[in-house]
Amino acid sequence: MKNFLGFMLVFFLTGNLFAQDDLLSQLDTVKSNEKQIETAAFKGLQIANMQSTKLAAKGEWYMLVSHRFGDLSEGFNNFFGLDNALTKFGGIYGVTNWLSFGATRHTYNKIYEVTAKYKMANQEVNGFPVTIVGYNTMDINSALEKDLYPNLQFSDRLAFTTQLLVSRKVNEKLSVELGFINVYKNLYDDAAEQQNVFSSAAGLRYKIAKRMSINLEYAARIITEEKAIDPYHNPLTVGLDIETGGHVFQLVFSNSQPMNDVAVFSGASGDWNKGKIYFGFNMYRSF
Amino acid sequence: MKKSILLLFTCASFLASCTTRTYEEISETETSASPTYTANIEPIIKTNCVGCHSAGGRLPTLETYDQVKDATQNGDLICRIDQTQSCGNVMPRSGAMPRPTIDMIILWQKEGCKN
Repeated sequence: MKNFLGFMLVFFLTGNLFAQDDLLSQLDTVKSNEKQIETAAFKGLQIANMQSTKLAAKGEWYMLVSHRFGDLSEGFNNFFGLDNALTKFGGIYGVTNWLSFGATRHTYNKIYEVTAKYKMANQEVNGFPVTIVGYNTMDINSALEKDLYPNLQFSDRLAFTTQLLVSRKVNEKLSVELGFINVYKNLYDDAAEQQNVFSSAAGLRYKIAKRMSINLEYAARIITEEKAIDPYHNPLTVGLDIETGGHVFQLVFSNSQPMNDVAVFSGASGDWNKGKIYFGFNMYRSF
Repeated sequence: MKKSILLLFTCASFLASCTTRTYEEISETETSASPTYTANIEPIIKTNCVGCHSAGGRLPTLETYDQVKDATQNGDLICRIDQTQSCGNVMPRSGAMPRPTIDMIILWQKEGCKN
Protein backbone atom coordinates (compact mmCIF):
# COMPACT_ATOMS: atom_id res chain seq x y z
CA MET A 1 0.00 0.00 0.00
CA LYS A 2 2.80 2.36 1.02
CA ASN A 3 4.62 1.63 -2.20
CA PHE A 4 1.49 2.29 -4.19
CA LEU A 5 0.93 5.69 -2.50
CA GLY A 6 4.55 6.60 -3.13
CA PHE A 7 4.20 5.61 -6.76
CA MET A 8 1.05 7.70 -7.16
CA LEU A 9 2.74 10.70 -5.56
CA VAL A 10 5.74 10.52 -7.88
CA PHE A 11 3.47 9.90 -10.86
CA PHE A 12 1.30 12.94 -10.23
CA LEU A 13 4.20 15.20 -9.39
CA THR A 14 6.12 14.35 -12.54
CA GLY A 15 2.90 14.57 -14.50
CA ASN A 16 2.42 18.08 -13.24
CA LEU A 17 6.00 19.02 -14.09
CA PHE A 18 5.64 17.78 -17.64
CA ALA A 19 2.38 19.64 -17.98
CA GLN A 20 4.09 22.81 -16.83
CA ASP A 21 6.82 22.39 -19.39
CA ASP A 22 4.26 22.00 -22.11
CA LEU A 23 2.43 25.14 -21.13
CA LEU A 24 5.65 27.12 -20.96
CA SER A 25 6.78 25.98 -24.37
CA GLN A 26 3.41 26.98 -25.78
CA LEU A 27 3.90 30.44 -24.35
CA ASP A 28 7.27 30.69 -26.00
CA THR A 29 5.95 29.84 -29.42
CA VAL A 30 3.94 33.05 -29.60
CA LYS A 31 6.34 35.50 -31.21
CA SER A 32 5.62 39.21 -31.43
CA ASN A 33 6.85 41.33 -34.29
CA GLU A 34 8.22 44.03 -31.97
CA LYS A 35 11.91 43.84 -31.15
CA GLN A 36 12.51 43.00 -27.52
CA ILE A 37 14.56 45.43 -25.47
CA GLU A 38 17.58 43.80 -23.85
CA THR A 39 17.17 44.09 -20.10
CA ALA A 40 19.48 44.53 -17.15
CA ALA A 41 22.82 45.31 -18.73
CA PHE A 42 23.53 46.90 -15.37
CA LYS A 43 21.64 46.36 -12.12
CA GLY A 44 22.70 49.60 -10.45
CA LEU A 45 22.23 53.16 -11.66
CA GLN A 46 25.99 53.46 -11.23
CA ILE A 47 28.72 51.04 -12.27
CA ALA A 48 30.74 52.18 -9.26
CA ASN A 49 31.50 55.91 -9.50
CA MET A 50 30.47 56.30 -13.11
CA GLN A 51 26.83 56.19 -14.23
CA SER A 52 25.55 53.05 -15.91
CA THR A 53 23.02 53.13 -18.73
CA LYS A 54 20.21 52.08 -16.41
CA LEU A 55 17.51 54.65 -15.68
CA ALA A 56 14.78 54.81 -13.07
CA ALA A 57 11.49 53.55 -14.54
CA LYS A 58 8.53 55.88 -14.94
CA GLY A 59 7.23 57.04 -11.55
CA GLU A 60 9.98 55.23 -9.66
CA TRP A 61 11.81 56.87 -6.74
CA TYR A 62 15.30 55.95 -5.71
CA MET A 63 16.89 56.95 -2.46
CA LEU A 64 20.64 56.77 -2.42
CA VAL A 65 23.25 56.93 0.31
CA SER A 66 26.96 56.64 -0.44
CA HIS A 67 30.04 56.83 1.71
CA ARG A 68 33.74 56.97 0.93
CA PHE A 69 36.01 56.53 3.88
CA GLY A 70 39.45 58.09 4.22
CA ASP A 71 42.75 56.97 2.80
CA LEU A 72 43.42 53.28 3.55
CA SER A 73 47.21 53.71 3.57
CA GLU A 74 47.22 55.53 6.90
CA GLY A 75 46.19 52.44 8.86
CA PHE A 76 45.35 52.96 12.51
CA ASN A 77 46.19 56.68 12.38
CA ASN A 78 42.74 57.33 10.92
CA PHE A 79 41.38 53.84 11.72
CA PHE A 80 41.61 52.78 8.05
CA GLY A 81 39.69 55.84 6.94
CA LEU A 82 36.75 55.77 9.31
CA ASP A 83 37.80 59.15 10.69
CA ASN A 84 37.38 61.11 7.48
CA ALA A 85 34.33 59.79 5.67
CA LEU A 86 32.52 61.67 2.91
CA THR A 87 28.79 61.21 2.44
CA LYS A 88 26.46 61.61 -0.51
CA PHE A 89 22.73 61.58 0.09
CA GLY A 90 19.89 62.16 -2.31
CA GLY A 91 17.12 60.95 -4.54
CA ILE A 92 16.36 60.17 -8.17
CA TYR A 93 12.96 60.27 -9.84
CA GLY A 94 11.94 58.73 -13.16
CA VAL A 95 9.67 61.19 -14.99
CA THR A 96 9.30 58.81 -17.90
CA ASN A 97 11.07 55.61 -18.81
CA TRP A 98 13.63 57.60 -20.79
CA LEU A 99 14.15 60.63 -18.53
CA SER A 100 15.02 60.93 -14.85
CA PHE A 101 16.15 63.73 -12.57
CA GLY A 102 18.20 63.54 -9.41
CA ALA A 103 19.47 65.76 -6.63
CA THR A 104 22.15 64.94 -4.07
CA ARG A 105 24.05 66.65 -1.30
CA HIS A 106 27.74 65.92 -0.82
CA THR A 107 29.95 66.45 2.22
CA TYR A 108 32.81 67.37 -0.10
CA ASN A 109 32.75 71.17 -0.56
CA LYS A 110 29.13 71.08 0.68
CA ILE A 111 28.12 70.46 -2.93
CA TYR A 112 24.55 70.21 -4.18
CA GLU A 113 24.50 68.16 -7.37
CA VAL A 114 21.51 68.13 -9.72
CA THR A 115 21.41 65.62 -12.54
CA ALA A 116 19.47 64.70 -15.65
CA LYS A 117 19.72 61.33 -17.36
CA TYR A 118 18.03 60.54 -20.66
CA LYS A 119 17.96 57.49 -22.86
CA MET A 120 18.41 57.95 -26.59
CA ALA A 121 18.44 54.33 -27.77
CA ASN A 122 17.87 50.85 -26.39
CA GLN A 123 19.81 47.70 -27.13
CA GLU A 124 17.42 45.21 -28.74
CA VAL A 125 17.51 41.43 -28.98
CA ASN A 126 18.58 40.76 -32.59
CA GLY A 127 18.23 44.48 -33.31
CA PHE A 128 19.95 47.72 -32.40
CA PRO A 129 23.31 46.76 -30.84
CA VAL A 130 23.81 49.30 -28.04
CA THR A 131 22.07 51.40 -25.40
CA ILE A 132 22.87 55.11 -25.60
CA VAL A 133 22.33 57.41 -22.65
CA GLY A 134 23.10 61.08 -22.02
CA TYR A 135 23.89 62.37 -18.57
CA ASN A 136 24.38 65.91 -17.28
CA THR A 137 25.34 67.09 -13.84
CA MET A 138 25.54 70.55 -12.31
CA ASP A 139 27.36 71.14 -9.03
CA ILE A 140 26.70 74.04 -6.71
CA ASN A 141 29.61 74.49 -4.31
CA SER A 142 28.16 75.96 -1.13
CA ALA A 143 31.42 75.85 0.83
CA LEU A 144 32.93 78.89 -0.88
CA GLU A 145 32.71 81.94 1.36
CA LYS A 146 32.73 85.65 0.65
CA ASP A 147 35.10 86.25 3.57
CA LEU A 148 37.78 84.22 1.86
CA TYR A 149 36.96 85.21 -1.71
CA PRO A 150 35.66 88.80 -1.74
CA ASN A 151 34.87 88.84 -5.46
CA LEU A 152 32.77 85.68 -5.35
CA GLN A 153 29.66 85.53 -7.53
CA PHE A 154 27.01 82.81 -7.71
CA SER A 155 28.23 81.58 -11.10
CA ASP A 156 31.64 80.80 -9.55
CA ARG A 157 29.99 78.07 -7.51
CA LEU A 158 28.94 76.07 -10.56
CA ALA A 159 30.65 73.18 -12.32
CA PHE A 160 29.27 70.84 -14.96
CA THR A 161 29.72 67.49 -16.60
CA THR A 162 28.29 66.36 -19.91
CA GLN A 163 28.42 62.64 -20.56
CA LEU A 164 27.56 60.31 -23.38
CA LEU A 165 27.35 56.67 -22.31
CA VAL A 166 27.17 53.72 -24.66
CA SER A 167 26.69 50.22 -23.30
CA ARG A 168 26.28 46.72 -24.60
CA LYS A 169 25.18 43.59 -22.80
CA VAL A 170 27.51 41.09 -24.41
CA ASN A 171 26.02 37.99 -22.80
CA GLU A 172 24.19 36.97 -19.63
CA LYS A 173 27.28 37.63 -17.54
CA LEU A 174 29.20 40.42 -19.19
CA SER A 175 28.16 44.00 -19.93
CA VAL A 176 30.50 46.73 -21.14
CA GLU A 177 30.21 50.49 -21.34
CA LEU A 178 32.11 53.32 -23.00
CA GLY A 179 31.81 56.89 -21.77
CA PHE A 180 32.78 60.24 -23.24
CA ILE A 181 32.86 62.76 -20.43
CA ASN A 182 33.54 66.46 -20.34
CA VAL A 183 34.05 68.38 -17.09
CA TYR A 184 33.71 72.13 -17.12
CA LYS A 185 34.44 74.34 -14.12
CA ASN A 186 33.32 77.93 -13.81
CA LEU A 187 35.90 78.41 -11.07
CA TYR A 188 39.19 76.60 -11.29
CA ASP A 189 42.60 76.54 -9.64
CA ASP A 190 45.07 77.84 -12.20
CA ALA A 191 48.05 76.21 -10.47
CA ALA A 192 46.66 72.68 -10.46
CA GLU A 193 43.48 72.30 -12.52
CA GLN A 194 42.33 72.55 -16.09
CA GLN A 195 39.17 74.51 -16.74
CA ASN A 196 37.99 71.84 -19.11
CA VAL A 197 38.83 68.16 -18.72
CA PHE A 198 37.82 65.61 -21.34
CA SER A 199 37.95 61.90 -20.49
CA SER A 200 37.21 58.75 -22.34
CA ALA A 201 36.04 56.14 -19.91
CA ALA A 202 35.35 52.43 -19.94
CA GLY A 203 33.46 50.26 -17.51
CA LEU A 204 32.32 46.68 -17.22
CA ARG A 205 30.13 44.45 -15.12
CA TYR A 206 30.78 40.73 -14.78
CA LYS A 207 28.27 38.55 -12.98
CA ILE A 208 29.90 36.07 -10.62
CA ALA A 209 26.78 34.75 -8.90
CA LYS A 210 23.03 35.12 -9.18
CA ARG A 211 22.97 38.31 -7.13
CA MET A 212 26.57 39.44 -7.30
CA SER A 213 28.76 41.06 -9.90
CA ILE A 214 32.23 42.54 -10.12
CA ASN A 215 32.48 45.99 -11.64
CA LEU A 216 35.45 47.85 -13.02
CA GLU A 217 35.84 51.32 -14.46
CA TYR A 218 38.62 53.60 -15.64
CA ALA A 219 38.77 57.02 -17.23
CA ALA A 220 41.69 58.43 -19.18
CA ARG A 221 41.91 62.21 -18.90
CA ILE A 222 43.28 64.18 -21.79
CA ILE A 223 45.82 66.62 -20.40
CA THR A 224 46.19 69.71 -22.56
CA GLU A 225 48.23 71.93 -20.22
CA GLU A 226 51.17 71.24 -17.93
CA LYS A 227 50.45 72.62 -14.45
CA ALA A 228 52.81 73.82 -11.68
CA ILE A 229 51.30 71.33 -9.24
CA ASP A 230 49.64 68.22 -10.60
CA PRO A 231 48.18 66.22 -7.76
CA TYR A 232 45.59 64.34 -9.83
CA HIS A 233 45.36 60.88 -11.37
CA ASN A 234 43.05 59.03 -13.71
CA PRO A 235 40.17 57.53 -11.75
CA LEU A 236 40.25 53.73 -11.41
CA THR A 237 37.48 52.05 -9.46
CA VAL A 238 36.72 48.43 -8.60
CA GLY A 239 33.38 47.44 -7.16
CA LEU A 240 31.25 44.54 -6.01
CA ASP A 241 27.46 44.67 -6.47
CA ILE A 242 25.30 42.78 -4.02
CA GLU A 243 21.62 42.73 -4.86
CA THR A 244 19.13 42.12 -2.09
CA GLY A 245 15.39 42.49 -2.68
CA GLY A 246 14.74 46.19 -3.33
CA HIS A 247 18.29 47.26 -2.56
CA VAL A 248 21.41 47.38 -4.63
CA PHE A 249 24.47 47.51 -2.44
CA GLN A 250 27.75 48.39 -4.12
CA LEU A 251 31.10 48.04 -2.38
CA VAL A 252 33.71 50.28 -3.95
CA PHE A 253 37.47 50.75 -3.93
CA SER A 254 38.54 53.91 -5.72
CA ASN A 255 41.32 56.46 -5.93
CA SER A 256 38.75 59.24 -5.82
CA GLN A 257 37.27 60.06 -2.45
CA PRO A 258 34.69 62.67 -3.52
CA MET A 259 31.66 61.21 -5.32
CA ASN A 260 30.42 64.10 -7.47
CA ASP A 261 31.16 63.47 -11.13
CA VAL A 262 33.10 66.72 -11.52
CA ALA A 263 35.60 65.64 -8.86
CA VAL A 264 35.76 61.98 -9.92
CA PHE A 265 36.62 62.79 -13.53
CA SER A 266 38.98 65.70 -12.93
CA GLY A 267 40.29 65.50 -9.37
CA ALA A 268 41.01 61.95 -8.26
CA SER A 269 43.85 62.59 -5.80
CA GLY A 270 44.47 59.03 -4.62
CA ASP A 271 47.10 56.76 -6.11
CA TRP A 272 46.68 52.98 -6.53
CA ASN A 273 50.45 52.49 -6.72
CA LYS A 274 50.95 54.01 -3.28
CA GLY A 275 47.94 52.29 -1.72
CA LYS A 276 46.25 55.68 -1.37
CA ILE A 277 42.78 54.37 -2.13
CA TYR A 278 39.39 54.88 -0.59
CA PHE A 279 36.89 52.24 0.43
CA GLY A 280 33.18 52.94 0.48
CA PHE A 281 29.75 51.91 -0.71
CA ASN A 282 26.70 53.07 -2.65
CA MET A 283 23.29 51.98 -1.46
CA TYR A 284 20.20 52.33 -3.62
CA ARG A 285 16.67 51.75 -2.43
CA SER A 286 13.78 51.98 -4.88
CA PHE A 287 10.20 52.85 -4.02
CA MET B 1 10.97 62.45 -27.87
CA LYS B 2 13.78 63.19 -30.33
CA LYS B 3 12.99 66.91 -30.11
CA SER B 4 13.07 67.04 -26.34
CA ILE B 5 16.42 65.28 -26.28
CA LEU B 6 17.82 67.84 -28.68
CA LEU B 7 16.42 70.57 -26.44
CA LEU B 8 18.08 69.05 -23.38
CA PHE B 9 21.44 68.92 -25.10
CA THR B 10 21.18 72.53 -26.21
CA CYS B 11 20.21 73.65 -22.71
CA ALA B 12 23.11 71.71 -21.24
CA SER B 13 25.64 73.25 -23.58
CA PHE B 14 24.36 76.75 -22.76
CA LEU B 15 24.65 76.07 -19.04
CA ALA B 16 28.28 75.14 -19.47
CA SER B 17 29.20 78.29 -21.35
CA CYS B 18 29.26 80.72 -18.42
CA THR B 19 32.39 82.77 -17.86
CA THR B 20 35.27 81.02 -16.17
CA ARG B 21 37.40 82.55 -13.46
CA THR B 22 40.31 81.40 -11.33
CA TYR B 23 40.64 81.48 -7.54
CA GLU B 24 43.15 84.35 -7.92
CA GLU B 25 40.50 86.43 -9.63
CA ILE B 26 37.93 86.05 -6.89
CA SER B 27 40.27 86.48 -3.93
CA GLU B 28 42.48 89.39 -2.99
CA THR B 29 45.48 87.46 -1.73
CA GLU B 30 48.93 88.29 -3.04
CA THR B 31 50.87 85.31 -4.33
CA SER B 32 54.31 84.86 -5.83
CA ALA B 33 55.44 82.61 -8.65
CA SER B 34 58.68 81.75 -6.83
CA PRO B 35 57.89 82.07 -3.13
CA THR B 36 60.52 82.36 -0.39
CA TYR B 37 60.11 81.86 3.36
CA THR B 38 60.83 85.39 4.55
CA ALA B 39 58.92 87.19 1.81
CA ASN B 40 55.85 84.96 1.38
CA ILE B 41 55.52 82.02 3.73
CA GLU B 42 56.43 83.47 7.12
CA PRO B 43 53.61 86.09 7.15
CA ILE B 44 51.03 83.37 6.36
CA ILE B 45 52.33 81.04 9.08
CA LYS B 46 52.47 83.93 11.61
CA THR B 47 48.83 84.91 11.00
CA ASN B 48 47.31 81.44 10.65
CA CYS B 49 49.35 78.89 12.60
CA VAL B 50 51.57 80.32 15.34
CA GLY B 51 48.57 81.19 17.53
CA CYS B 52 48.45 77.52 18.54
CA HIS B 53 51.64 76.03 17.05
CA SER B 54 54.15 77.86 19.25
CA ALA B 55 56.64 76.63 21.86
CA GLY B 56 54.70 74.96 24.67
CA GLY B 57 51.58 74.74 22.53
CA ARG B 58 50.45 72.34 19.80
CA LEU B 59 52.95 70.25 17.87
CA PRO B 60 54.56 70.81 15.46
CA THR B 61 55.98 74.15 16.57
CA LEU B 62 56.03 76.51 13.59
CA GLU B 63 58.06 79.48 14.77
CA THR B 64 61.27 79.29 12.75
CA TYR B 65 62.26 78.56 9.14
CA ASP B 66 63.71 75.16 10.10
CA GLN B 67 60.60 74.11 11.98
CA VAL B 68 58.27 75.06 9.12
CA LYS B 69 60.57 73.42 6.57
CA ASP B 70 60.65 70.22 8.61
CA ALA B 71 56.85 70.17 9.02
CA THR B 72 56.37 70.66 5.26
CA GLN B 73 58.97 68.17 4.10
CA ASN B 74 58.78 65.45 6.75
CA GLY B 75 55.47 66.16 8.46
CA ASP B 76 52.00 66.40 6.97
CA LEU B 77 51.62 70.19 7.01
CA ILE B 78 50.55 70.37 3.36
CA CYS B 79 48.11 67.52 3.65
CA ARG B 80 46.52 69.18 6.69
CA ILE B 81 46.01 72.60 5.08
CA ASP B 82 44.76 71.22 1.75
CA GLN B 83 41.18 70.06 2.19
CA THR B 84 41.22 68.20 -1.13
CA GLN B 85 43.62 65.67 0.40
CA SER B 86 42.20 63.63 3.23
CA CYS B 87 44.15 64.12 6.45
CA GLY B 88 41.35 64.66 8.89
CA ASN B 89 40.16 68.08 10.02
CA VAL B 90 41.51 70.85 7.86
CA MET B 91 43.96 73.42 9.31
CA PRO B 92 43.58 76.17 10.41
CA ARG B 93 40.66 75.17 12.61
CA SER B 94 38.73 78.28 11.58
CA GLY B 95 38.57 76.95 8.00
CA ALA B 96 40.87 76.36 5.05
CA MET B 97 42.94 79.25 3.74
CA PRO B 98 42.24 80.69 0.27
CA ARG B 99 43.20 78.32 -2.55
CA PRO B 100 46.00 80.52 -3.99
CA THR B 101 47.68 80.64 -0.55
CA ILE B 102 47.60 76.84 -0.23
CA ASP B 103 48.95 76.46 -3.76
CA MET B 104 51.78 78.85 -2.99
CA ILE B 105 52.84 76.82 0.06
CA ILE B 106 52.77 73.62 -2.03
CA LEU B 107 54.85 75.36 -4.68
CA TRP B 108 57.32 76.58 -2.03
CA GLN B 109 57.79 73.01 -0.84
CA LYS B 110 58.18 71.72 -4.43
CA GLU B 111 60.90 74.29 -5.11
CA GLY B 112 62.89 73.10 -2.10
CA CYS B 113 61.68 75.48 0.64
CA LYS B 114 63.68 78.59 -0.28
CA ASN B 115 64.53 80.79 2.71
